[in-house]
Amino acid sequence: MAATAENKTPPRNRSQFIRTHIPRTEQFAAMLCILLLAGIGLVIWQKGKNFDPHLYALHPDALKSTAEAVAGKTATIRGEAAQARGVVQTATTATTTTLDGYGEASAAAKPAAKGEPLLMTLAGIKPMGDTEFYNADTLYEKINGRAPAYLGFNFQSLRCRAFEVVGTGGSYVDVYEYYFDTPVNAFGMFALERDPQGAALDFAPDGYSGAMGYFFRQGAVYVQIIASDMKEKTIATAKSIAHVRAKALPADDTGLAARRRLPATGLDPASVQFTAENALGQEFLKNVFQATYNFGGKKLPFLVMVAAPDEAVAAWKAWSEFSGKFGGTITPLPDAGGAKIFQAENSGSWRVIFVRDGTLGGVFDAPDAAKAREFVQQYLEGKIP
Amino acid sequence: MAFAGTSAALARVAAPQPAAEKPAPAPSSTGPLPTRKLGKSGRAVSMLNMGGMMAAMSPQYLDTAWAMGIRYFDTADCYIGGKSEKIVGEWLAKYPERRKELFLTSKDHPKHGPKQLLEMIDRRLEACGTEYLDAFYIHGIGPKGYGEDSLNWPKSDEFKRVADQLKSSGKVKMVGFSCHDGRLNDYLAAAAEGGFVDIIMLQYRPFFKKGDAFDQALSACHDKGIALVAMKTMRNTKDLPARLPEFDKLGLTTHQAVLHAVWSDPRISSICNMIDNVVMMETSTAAARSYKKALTTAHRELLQQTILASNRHMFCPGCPACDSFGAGSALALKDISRAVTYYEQDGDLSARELYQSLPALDRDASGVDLAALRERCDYHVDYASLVQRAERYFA
Amino acid sequence: MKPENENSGVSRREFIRRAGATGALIAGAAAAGYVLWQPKHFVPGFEAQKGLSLKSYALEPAKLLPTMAIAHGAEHDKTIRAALGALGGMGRFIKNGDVVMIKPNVAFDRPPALAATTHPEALRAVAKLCFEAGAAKVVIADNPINSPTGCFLKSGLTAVADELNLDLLYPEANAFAPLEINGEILRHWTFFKSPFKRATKVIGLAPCKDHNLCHSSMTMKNWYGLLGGRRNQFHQHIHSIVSDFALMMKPTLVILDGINVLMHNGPTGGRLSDVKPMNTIVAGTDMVAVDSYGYANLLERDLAELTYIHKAHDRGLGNKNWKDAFYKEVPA
Repeated sequence: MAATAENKTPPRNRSQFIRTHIPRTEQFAAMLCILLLAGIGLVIWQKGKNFDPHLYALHPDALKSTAEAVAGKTATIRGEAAQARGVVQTATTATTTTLDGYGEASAAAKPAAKGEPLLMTLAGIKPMGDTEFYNADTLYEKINGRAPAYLGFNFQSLRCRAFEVVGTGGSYVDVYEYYFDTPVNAFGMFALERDPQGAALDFAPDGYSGAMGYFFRQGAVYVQIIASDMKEKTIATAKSIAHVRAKALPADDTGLAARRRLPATGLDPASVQFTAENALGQEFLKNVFQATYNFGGKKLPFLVMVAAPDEAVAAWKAWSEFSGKFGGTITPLPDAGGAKIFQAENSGSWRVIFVRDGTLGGVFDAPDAAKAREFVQQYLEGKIP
Repeated sequence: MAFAGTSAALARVAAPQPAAEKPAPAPSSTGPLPTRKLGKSGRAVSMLNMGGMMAAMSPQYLDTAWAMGIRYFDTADCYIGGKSEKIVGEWLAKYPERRKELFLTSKDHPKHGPKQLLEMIDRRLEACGTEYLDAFYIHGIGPKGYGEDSLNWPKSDEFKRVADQLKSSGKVKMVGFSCHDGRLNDYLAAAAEGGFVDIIMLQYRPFFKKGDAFDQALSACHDKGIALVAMKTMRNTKDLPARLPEFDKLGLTTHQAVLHAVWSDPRISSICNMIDNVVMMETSTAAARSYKKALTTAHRELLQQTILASNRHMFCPGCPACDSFGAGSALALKDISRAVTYYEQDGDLSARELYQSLPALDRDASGVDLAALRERCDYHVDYASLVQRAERYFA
Repeated sequence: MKPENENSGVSRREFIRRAGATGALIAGAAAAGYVLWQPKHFVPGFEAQKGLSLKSYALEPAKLLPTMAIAHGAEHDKTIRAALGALGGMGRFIKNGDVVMIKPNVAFDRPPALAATTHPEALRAVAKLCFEAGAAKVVIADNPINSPTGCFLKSGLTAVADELNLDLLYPEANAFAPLEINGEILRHWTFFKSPFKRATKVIGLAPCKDHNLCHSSMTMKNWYGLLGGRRNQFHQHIHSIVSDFALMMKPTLVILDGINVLMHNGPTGGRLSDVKPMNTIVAGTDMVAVDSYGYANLLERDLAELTYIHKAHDRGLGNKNWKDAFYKEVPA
């Protein structure tokens, strides 16, 4: 049947189509879009205004060390002083001492919180500038290529300050306090940088002095006191500062119990080493401190492990059993001072190992069995301080 | 005096007995480990060799390894800050007669081209205290460290000339390279094409698909008589249950089963293990002695599934399954995974430097569908978690 | 109900008006975007951009005079004089009226004895020689990593500047301008330009020291202190960038101070036991050669390790085979 005029649908003329009613939802959505566009424009403008032309956008991580200003560091503008920037440092705890004495120990001061200035009221010194503060991100800005080593030991923060030595015509002492998360990590970094020629400090068991400085670990802090020169007054001031800081920082040897049991006599300080697990390739030797001793002209490696008593005994027994393998010879020695002891020889090396009250220790890989026994005996008798 | 009695007791024991004080003769060992041949060289070496990177490395530790039958030590210029080679040297000085029975390898980094090996060999020999190395490797070859040109080195005339010169000088018996790079297959293919490389140390996991690109590259090298030494085989096994009933029936711990799975591939001559303690040494050497035949496919699959199930945050084992992804994206999944592995599994703090040495593009996961990648991955590695952890540890 | 929409016509004029308005809006947005767009902002410094160029301060090679001198002695003044004397005297390089820019390495606020910075005695000796040769003015400048005032003061260089009336320029905010480098990695970077405003000659004066990240810091790395901005990202491509410094700067002369060498724990050091007296000064016109000598003979290391030297050599920026050069070795 042919289409009739009545049946045809009139063609739709788009150009004649005008919307006269816009639903509220649509109006609202449209307004929202316009506002969003305006907002985006504003953000782009703002970002562009603050754009750092030296931002290497592909390496954002590399810029962490300059992403924030370092507190206390003077800007690269000549003579700009902290006061000009409105930075005010208030005294917190301070210890008054004379140059010759070391003053009363302050009440156990808490480790410096971020931003707490390094203050010392010590006769003969004057701060040269503000305290500088660095964290893990900004440490690179202070010690540059050394930073990765510190970060490897979970470095937390650094505060440092220079002090002029009054009356010396320009001598000064730099004080650096590196805070780590644990005393063990602070020890680890200290040991890594240890100067084998350093002289032991009587006020810091983990410490030594060099020709121009004092370096020690106190709690979870690795302290460096560096003199600008070797004038007597400068070095004496550096030493006083070291004493003051050693007293002010809280002592904390958590995780370092075995370290305390390494005697100081005959110790080669550069040989002190900490192994968290698998010390000497033995599964049962954990959190071990070892060092080499000069004893009667012989070099004797000695180690100590502190554990729960039954764990220490189990380790001692396991070591004894291992020593008997592969042709090794074991000689049980009589108990001494409450300690059980065995002596063993493997491949021409001797070991004399004791266990007492949760402490496992002894001489290992020694060339001389008699010396090894003598050392252990004297150690157990408390004759090697 | 408190300890007089003790002193007297100790003194009695210490009364001069010359015979007792003299060291006993070198310990009798349980005999050398079973051996496999190294490619066309025909040289027989221990199926298990000991890497020189672990903290326990010392002359006494090498004594123990020797006593347990290991006759193959692997070291390198940079292991333990350069101390590893010196320890080997100390041990060889103590037992010079053992040198001919030992297969000793070391490595160096000729960043300016293979010909640098000609000057580096003398330093390695001096450090190891020996007159020759049984194998000398280019250490950890890869385009990032050595440049894109290095992909051609295994078939280049220059490297061939250097290898010939090293061998004719008597300072080296075999020349090759070690590789754990994402482009391992390319290096293997180049070596097969060149035909002159004697030995390759490669990252190896026994769970690849038969016939895939890695399998083919291995076969190509094997057919050319290139010796293949497996390394980094123990990744992702830290959280495995120590024993599984199926492997108990075979008398194997799970760790030993992994070693057996690797030895099941006859193309692999030896496994290089970083043996952290004596117990691991005992287990690994026992595995070598007990190996008689290949694990069944069912056992290998069980092992693979166990590894998958045990590790929620699976590390990328470096299999070639996502090579096609690798071609389209700069994200260095394998390197990131390696850094996290070293940090979490080995406590290796230098993993931070490894991660930070990667260009930022290679560390940037934005725009990469890590969830989809996980689905596609044979091991369902949780890449999102890996990348996140890497940022947290190292960035 | 009234229909929501009615059919009615849109006139041609109305259509043109609306289309025109829309088109103008689009064109305006596009134009604004183009104007605001910084095509090279994405990786500034690492793409080509025109900036100021640094001229070469190198002299024409003198065929009959050595290009490098090595002098051995324990005192800075005597040894530096001996080294310069072996090169033909400072007069070979500095003429009457010259404005000499001496670039020391004062990156850190360390005392002189720790050998992490240019020694004040070295600066004193070189500055005096410049004045003796007729220099009208001597400028010293550096953009340190630590605080500039602290660095110059604690290293002892401020005292020398005061004593000899040297122009000590601190890196102030307006002292920098973009420099076109066109290096392997560095295409352009913000550069400490003030010291070069009137400089006619440039002398690099650097300590020889260990560096944890790039093995050593000597005369090539010394130019790092002329750059501003966020330099901390350089360590990702440190060897390429140090070799770019040899492209960026063509000095008149470089002097490597090896009287006391920081052998370990560089670049900041901190212990005197890390410092070893090597009693040597190396002076020359080729910083690649000077640094090659320093690394092998003063730091006592294997030159094969020092990637940036090989890069600079391969790029034709100097000769790492210092023995091939015409050099003289003299006692102080």
